[in-house]
Amino acid sequence: MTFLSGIFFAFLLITFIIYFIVPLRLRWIVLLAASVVFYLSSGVPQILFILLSSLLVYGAARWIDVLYTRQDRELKEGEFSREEKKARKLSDRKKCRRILNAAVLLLLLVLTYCKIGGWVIGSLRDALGEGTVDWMQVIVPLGVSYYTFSLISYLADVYWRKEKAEKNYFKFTLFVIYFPKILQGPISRHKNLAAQLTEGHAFEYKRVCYGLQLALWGYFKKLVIADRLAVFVNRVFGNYMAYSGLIFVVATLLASVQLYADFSGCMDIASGVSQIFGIELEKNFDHPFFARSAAEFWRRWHITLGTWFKDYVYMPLVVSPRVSRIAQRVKKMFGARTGKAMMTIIPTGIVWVLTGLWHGTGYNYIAWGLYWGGIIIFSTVFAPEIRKLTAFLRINTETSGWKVFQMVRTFLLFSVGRLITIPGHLRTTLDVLEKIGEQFDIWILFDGSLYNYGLNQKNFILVMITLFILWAVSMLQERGCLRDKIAGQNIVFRWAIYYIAFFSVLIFGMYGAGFNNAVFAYMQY
Amino acid sequence: MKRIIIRSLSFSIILLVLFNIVSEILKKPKNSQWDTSGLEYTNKYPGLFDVVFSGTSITIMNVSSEELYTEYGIAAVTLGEPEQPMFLTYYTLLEALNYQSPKVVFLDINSLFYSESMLRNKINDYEHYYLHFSLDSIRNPIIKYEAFQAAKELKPDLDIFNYFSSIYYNHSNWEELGKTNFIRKSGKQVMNGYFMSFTIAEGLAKLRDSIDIDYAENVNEEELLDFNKTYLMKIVELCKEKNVQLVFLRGGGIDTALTSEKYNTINKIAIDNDIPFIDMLQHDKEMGFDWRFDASDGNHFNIMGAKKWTDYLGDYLINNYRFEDRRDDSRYKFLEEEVDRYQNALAVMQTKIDLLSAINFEQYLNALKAVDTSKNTIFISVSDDASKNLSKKDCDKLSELGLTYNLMDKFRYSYLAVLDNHTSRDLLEDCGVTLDGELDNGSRYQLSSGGYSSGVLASIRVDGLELIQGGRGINIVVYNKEYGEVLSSVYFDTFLYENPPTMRRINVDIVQEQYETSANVWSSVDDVLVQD
Repeated sequence: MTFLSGIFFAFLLITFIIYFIVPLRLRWIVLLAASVVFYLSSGVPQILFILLSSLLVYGAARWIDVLYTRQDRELKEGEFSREEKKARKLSDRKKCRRILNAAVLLLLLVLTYCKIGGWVIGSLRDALGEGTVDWMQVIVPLGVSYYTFSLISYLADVYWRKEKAEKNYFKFTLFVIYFPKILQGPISRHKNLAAQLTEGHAFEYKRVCYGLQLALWGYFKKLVIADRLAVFVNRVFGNYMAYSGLIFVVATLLASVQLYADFSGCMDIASGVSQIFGIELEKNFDHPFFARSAAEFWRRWHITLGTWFKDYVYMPLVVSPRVSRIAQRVKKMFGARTGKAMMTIIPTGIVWVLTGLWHGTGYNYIAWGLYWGGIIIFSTVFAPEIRKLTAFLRINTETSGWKVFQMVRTFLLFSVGRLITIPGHLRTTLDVLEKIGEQFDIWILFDGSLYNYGLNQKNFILVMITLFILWAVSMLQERGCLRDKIAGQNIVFRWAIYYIAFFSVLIFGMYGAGFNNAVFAYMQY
Repeated sequence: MKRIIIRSLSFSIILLVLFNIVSEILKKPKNSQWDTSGLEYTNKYPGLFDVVFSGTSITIMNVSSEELYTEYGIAAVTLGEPEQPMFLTYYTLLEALNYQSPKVVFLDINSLFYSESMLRNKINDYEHYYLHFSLDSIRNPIIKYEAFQAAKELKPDLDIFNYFSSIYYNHSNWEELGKTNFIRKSGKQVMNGYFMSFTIAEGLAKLRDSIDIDYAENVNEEELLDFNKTYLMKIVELCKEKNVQLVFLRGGGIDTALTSEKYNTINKIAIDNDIPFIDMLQHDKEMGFDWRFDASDGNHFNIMGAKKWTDYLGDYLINNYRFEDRRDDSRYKFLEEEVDRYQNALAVMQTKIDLLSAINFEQYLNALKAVDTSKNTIFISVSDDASKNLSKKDCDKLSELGLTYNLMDKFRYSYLAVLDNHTSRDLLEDCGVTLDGELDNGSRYQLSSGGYSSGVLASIRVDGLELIQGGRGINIVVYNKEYGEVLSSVYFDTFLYENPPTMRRINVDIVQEQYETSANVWSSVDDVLVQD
């Protein structure tokens, strides 16, 4: 079951009715049951993985919590010198760290197994011959990357004493398995979500309406825009040997919009569905194509992944004595500025390689990580030079023209990054780059050639219209809550908007016979 | 809270209404050829039909329910979809018998011998087409679901939403939205579930003679697929339960002629269950079926063939069962209203046969003279030269049609004529000429003619489609305005030193087929040479 399957709507309706029928204090149980049913639809072994992972983290966190609680109590009640207290804290800290490390290691092992298990079995089959390891199958639990990161963040927060461990295993499991966010995130933090999940929410008409509107907008982005563009993109890159020239540029630009519409569409559906139950998920997208720099882009795109890496990888690395030692050594050898730059280069480089690996295990994903890491490191380390150059060229950075230029530049940078990952292999990306130079004919934009790649003229016109709508809605959202603005309109206009949006998805959506859009692009992670 | 409930209900009701409207608009209009929807009639006129025909396209095209009404006063309806497997025939019949209590059900047994792979292939092929025809016409959701489940036995990955949500299946039709999506009309050739064909397939007479229908020589049987037999027996049981007389019918043409083994199989089931079994091929001579003109292909009959076969069945019904004459019953107004249209269609078919029967210029001109130009239009265009070998007699015959100009001695002239609504419009010039205009049915025509020194061309286009080959001499097209049918397309080479002139008849059915598909007419014209 995904957000796009017909059965999901029946499932959602039933969950909605039951949720608001049962007493407030029991409503979290309805969500837990619904989430288990939702997850079970992906398979029984899959749910065992997630339940065992959450049991592991629940147990580890409780253990850490118990150690801390005992330490606090004993230190409070007992007579200890300052050194004794310090030693006791250090000893408990070490124990907790061992628990943390062991649990995180297990979680990462499972994640690694899911990520590269298929590749390992494939390689074994190639080496040993057909039929030798066919009995082996990799079970990939739904949303494994997302819930693993959520679990690690929870465990780290408990270890850092940022929050207390959850005592009720079932409530904790609900946080892990909550169905709107399990497919593609956001990577929720326990402290932001858990309380909302269990407190029970009364029916609120406005909130339900808002949730439905957001979900509808998500379906529009996914079914009308993303899946339509996917036809074109898949045709071009799926048969890249047959094409050359500008068509790859067009396909890459459209692929960027496609990915945004797909991923942010899914997030809107998840957030909208969650809002119906009164639960606000973390924001995962903030109109990234309005970003004026690479760093800003990644603060607006897949926000929860970015903040996760910042909080649990980047910051620990920045304060890590090892990184400091390396920086000091470099400082002595190459000067203060280079030493300071190392404090950016090392953590940022590691974060981006890991971000690449989170997305996939091929060389292209490592290259993609290095590409983005390189851009961000360059723009950070050479920020003074860039500022000087801007001043030297007398560029007024406050003009809208400059801002638009920066947005377009960021979009193009994103598109180049997209070109590294779309073809599937680094070798293919290089082939495509080579083929762009062959028969570069700009007239294909005007002579109807574009209609030969799966989208006819009518569909292309529709693409243009929907991209304009996407841009206009994003602009309005950027300036304030669009749903509040709609709610302020009179009923005829308001309902007309709802009906038009609903039937636009229904009519222009790419679904049904002949379409295979049961998955979202980011579901594979 | 009350306000919220009222508001939500209002919103939902409007949404449902809009949903239905949009679903209807987006429904792909069936190809007019198959837009029969017999089940619509059984649901619309409950309890009125005495006879039901059920089965495949053979049922749709070969039996004329209107003929039964006109000639015998029997109210019949035709249920059927192209190549409909037996299990779907069962479910459509089950749906129909919820609304009707007929005395007799004729079951077309053509699909009984489908093999498992054939059935699977058909379901595969039908996923976006034929399976929909059957399932979409079933209104009862339980019957529809059971039919869907039966189809799933053959193709387990069928998507239920494709069949239970019209908009789910049809939504991508927005790309082809047209007038027909907003104004729903039954096809002109459709009548109470019966599809009237005007096509004439030639060359079948000899084939018919080669078929041996002496089944008695062989006693072997062909084994039936369990799946088909199960549903056949379900139909038998259903009819028994509803107290309806079931009759097995093999009513197709020569392509689906039964082998002895198949005949014996079906005959045994018929005998075991006390069911009459009628095979058309055993009675075609008796009914005066003319294989030169009455079949539209190897399996299907045109309106003239259907009339003969239906008359035979009408006699059978009258002789074996009692029926009330429905012709004066006001409840059957919907059948009475179709009588004129049906008779007119028969007249159109007769005109076509008459024109086709002519084998020389003189005979053709005689047949042309009999054409009613209030319903048909005659187009004439000359290419190269039409006068060199044209006799005075020929010219007089042409003049009798009502033409203004005489082609006699007009060597290498260009000439065009349109005979429509008992008036003529013609042009004769020694340079190239063109003529265009609009017919009563809204169709537009464009004619061109070029003599030897003016391009050597002849063109007769209706709604942009070329209808002639453009041969040397006189090119003639007879076009029926009501049905958009090309009744005849010929040319006579009146330049050659031959008397009477050579007639080259273009296979009008191929022209018609091209007309339907808007393809290039001349890519596959069958040039039939008839020399007297």
